[in-house]
Amino acid sequence: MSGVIMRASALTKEYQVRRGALKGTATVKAVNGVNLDIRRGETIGLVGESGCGKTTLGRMLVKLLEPTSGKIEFDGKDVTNVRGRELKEFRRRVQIVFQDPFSSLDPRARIGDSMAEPLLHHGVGDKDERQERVAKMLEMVGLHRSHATRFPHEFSGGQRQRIGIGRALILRPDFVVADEPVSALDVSVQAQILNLLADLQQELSLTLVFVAHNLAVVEHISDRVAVMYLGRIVELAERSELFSRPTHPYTEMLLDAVPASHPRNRRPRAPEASELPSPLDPPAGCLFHPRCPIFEAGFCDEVVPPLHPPPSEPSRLVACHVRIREGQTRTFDEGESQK
Amino acid sequence: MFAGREVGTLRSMFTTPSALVGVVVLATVVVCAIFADVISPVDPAQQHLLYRLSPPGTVSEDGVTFVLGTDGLGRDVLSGIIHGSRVSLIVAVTAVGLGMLIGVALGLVSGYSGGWLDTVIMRAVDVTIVLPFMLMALVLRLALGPGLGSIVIALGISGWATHARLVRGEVLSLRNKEYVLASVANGAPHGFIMLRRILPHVLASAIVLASLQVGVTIVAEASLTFLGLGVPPEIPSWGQMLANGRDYMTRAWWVTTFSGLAIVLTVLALNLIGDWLRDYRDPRLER
Amino acid sequence: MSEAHDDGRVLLEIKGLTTAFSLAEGDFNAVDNVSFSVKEGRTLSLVGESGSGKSMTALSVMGLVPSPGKVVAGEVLLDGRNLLDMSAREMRKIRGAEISMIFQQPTSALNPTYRVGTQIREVFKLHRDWTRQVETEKVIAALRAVGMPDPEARLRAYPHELSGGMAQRVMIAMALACEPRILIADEPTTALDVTIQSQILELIRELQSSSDTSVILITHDLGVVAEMADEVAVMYAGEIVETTDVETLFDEPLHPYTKGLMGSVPVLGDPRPRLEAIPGTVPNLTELSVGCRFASRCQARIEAGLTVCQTHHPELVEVRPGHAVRCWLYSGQEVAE
Repeated sequence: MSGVIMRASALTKEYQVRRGALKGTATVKAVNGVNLDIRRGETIGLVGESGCGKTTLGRMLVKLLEPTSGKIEFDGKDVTNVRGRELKEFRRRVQIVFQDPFSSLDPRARIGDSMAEPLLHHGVGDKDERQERVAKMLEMVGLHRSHATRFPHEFSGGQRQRIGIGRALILRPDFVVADEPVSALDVSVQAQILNLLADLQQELSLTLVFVAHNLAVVEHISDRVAVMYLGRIVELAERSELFSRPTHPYTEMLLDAVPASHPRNRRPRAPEASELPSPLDPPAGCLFHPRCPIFEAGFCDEVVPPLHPPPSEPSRLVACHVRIREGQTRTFDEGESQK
Repeated sequence: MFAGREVGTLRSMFTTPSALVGVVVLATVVVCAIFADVISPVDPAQQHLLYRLSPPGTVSEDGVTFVLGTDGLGRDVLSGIIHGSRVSLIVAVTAVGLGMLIGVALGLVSGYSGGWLDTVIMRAVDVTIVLPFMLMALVLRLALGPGLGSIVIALGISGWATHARLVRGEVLSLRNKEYVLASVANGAPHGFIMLRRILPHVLASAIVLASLQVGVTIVAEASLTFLGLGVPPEIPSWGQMLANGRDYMTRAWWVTTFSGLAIVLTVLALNLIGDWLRDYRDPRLER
Repeated sequence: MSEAHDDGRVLLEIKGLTTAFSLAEGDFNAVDNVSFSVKEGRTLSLVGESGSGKSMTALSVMGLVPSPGKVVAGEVLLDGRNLLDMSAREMRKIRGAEISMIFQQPTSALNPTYRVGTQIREVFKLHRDWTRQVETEKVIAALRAVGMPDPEARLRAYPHELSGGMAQRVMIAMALACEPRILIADEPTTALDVTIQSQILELIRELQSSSDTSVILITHDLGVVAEMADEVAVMYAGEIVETTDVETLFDEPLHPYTKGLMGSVPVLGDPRPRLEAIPGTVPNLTELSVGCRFASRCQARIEAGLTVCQTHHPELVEVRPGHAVRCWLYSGQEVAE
């Protein structure tokens, strides 16, 4: 059962943006040549700040957005341009949970109908069987079967998110993208939903893509984590490796920025403004170089760093010239010292 | 559930005085239209030649009271207004209904599909809106020939464009709502998404627009009739009465005044109701 | 560490503040008998979730409660003067000059049709009697103080030309322009990315230490509390349920809700196999029970076998110096049946 379930190759999404009344349009690359292998049964976290393209990438993976270029393979099959029956089969196996539990349910539809909708479109069972499946799913996500006849406004945010999860899972998909599923919820409710997702992922052996901006939440739920910056993946590693030894300077910056977990762990921070460059006018070379503490002029600002494993760590991928080179010398040093 | 929502709607109506006034006036007009034969004191076509241009309150020898006076042919103005409400309402409501049907359908398709179809439909909307409404109704009316049906079509065709534009705009924002995307991700066919996930949400604003359009259309129908291109003279209508009374305006103010007042009050009532409908949205359905 | 500051002078004291709303769904107190004090140069954090009343507490202090809400009881004492007794005119003089406030959405808190410089100048016009020349200098100084790069040019920028982080810097510059003694920051970094949040928090911290401003920091994020607060008041359903200094709170939280919050938040670098979720949801303020407002979600109550929680409302009791909690588990007092 192991192996790659979803593979994105050079996936790119461009948008045309008006610059102003007289300045014409510009092209923004929301996702820029992303290569990503997602393994069957894993939970992979996509993390980054606003504008990094994580939501766009997630939506392309479930084919709610058409890529401008690049390829998506699902279960060994190219699904980039599938239509008709093949697309429908893809939709049965690939689902999405949305961020905002208030806008992801049709306010005029009873939740039982919203949840039964996937079954209806895929011709599963008759009306009674569908009702029974909905009732079972409601119980599975921690609600009551009698809730099926109610309307969304009768539920709290956390309950609505349970309904959204139930709707995504009712067809027993193999692959689910959860797009910031807890960031709109109250803190005390977030944990319930995270626990529920983790349980269901185990129980149904799902492959889960967890899109979020909260690093602690991503660390909690993911097996592997991909860090995105301005449309590119800059680092991809096992959870424990990424968080204990971040390699890309942007990953380091992100982790440093997270507030202390205890008042005794406070540390001084830099108050100077250092902001995301405009995606309309991205920097040349490494996209991170204008904010980078270790950038080397004449190199980082000219050549785009590829996403490569550092020599010492084949399981990690980093897009940083300096770190890759340091990695080479480090292996050399370690080799020396072992003698 | 639905009962609860309707109670809320009713409560809101009674706490908004202007809406209540509108509903009462409109209800009176509707009752007049339905029960015209029972309510009107005399046959509106009957000519009381001895009592031509009698002022309001005149009582004839055979005991008929002309509450609002008579016109140049001795016909009772009140009975004419009561019967005229039928034509005004039927023509306006069916014409607006026709315009709404076409407009909502095309707006839905236009906003949902995008691309060249959207461009074609929206250019057609632009053309329709740019042409003066009366001019187009006149041309259509002349092209289609006489009869009530052709008036309905002439007035209805002119109203579709506003509906199409309004609906398209709403569809564009609804299309990216997460619950619509969820339906797409669930493998829903386009028809299902358009009819079940989008249409119910645009219908509310289409109905508000329609309620305002009915008023405009009543005036348009009366204007066409006034010009002799609308409702045939043998059918009593407010526009016809207005046209007939014009010749005697200085001698017999009541003919034009009361038929005009009927138009004004009905249109005002429809606008009050339309405004209230626009302001009143069930907040629970908004999120 | 906390003792050293305990003799700090109390600048703002809030006593029994209660703000009531009367809506179609029912009447409720968004802020219910809230008391706390803010010491000079210190940061008090009000922590809570949606509906806890933390933002409404701040708006009540500022005299900006939105209709149909109304402050119905309590005192807000600034140097012994009760702000709640002041006229609208007097309050306008206080706001911006002595107490300032910054909000969660900096871009919507700025007027989109005026240049940034004009909006900061507006504050000086209200509270200072300066020439235009001096005003301009002060505006540039204010922007420079909040780390705005190239302040002379940014004067002429419109709010939509600024990023969220830059807009929040402008808001802070406006709020601190007249050197207020108290800054109320309502979720100042919630809408910002984590790297920008880090910059803004450090900025607030530096400005505070250089001017000895007191800060009331409103947040739902325990990380922000750990990073910024000296004292903490945890709010739930309109009332304070626990209050103490920040280290004690993180070392020894007492209230089951505070403990629950800490257990339910994943901590970076300390992944747990499972989060301890608080069951249920935040209660609806119009349907509160007579007992403890947290009782229906409280596991500790069941473990301890307490029944009083559902029938009697607990008081905020000081269980040791400087640490008060509203919970029957610690009150020690038995209720006579």
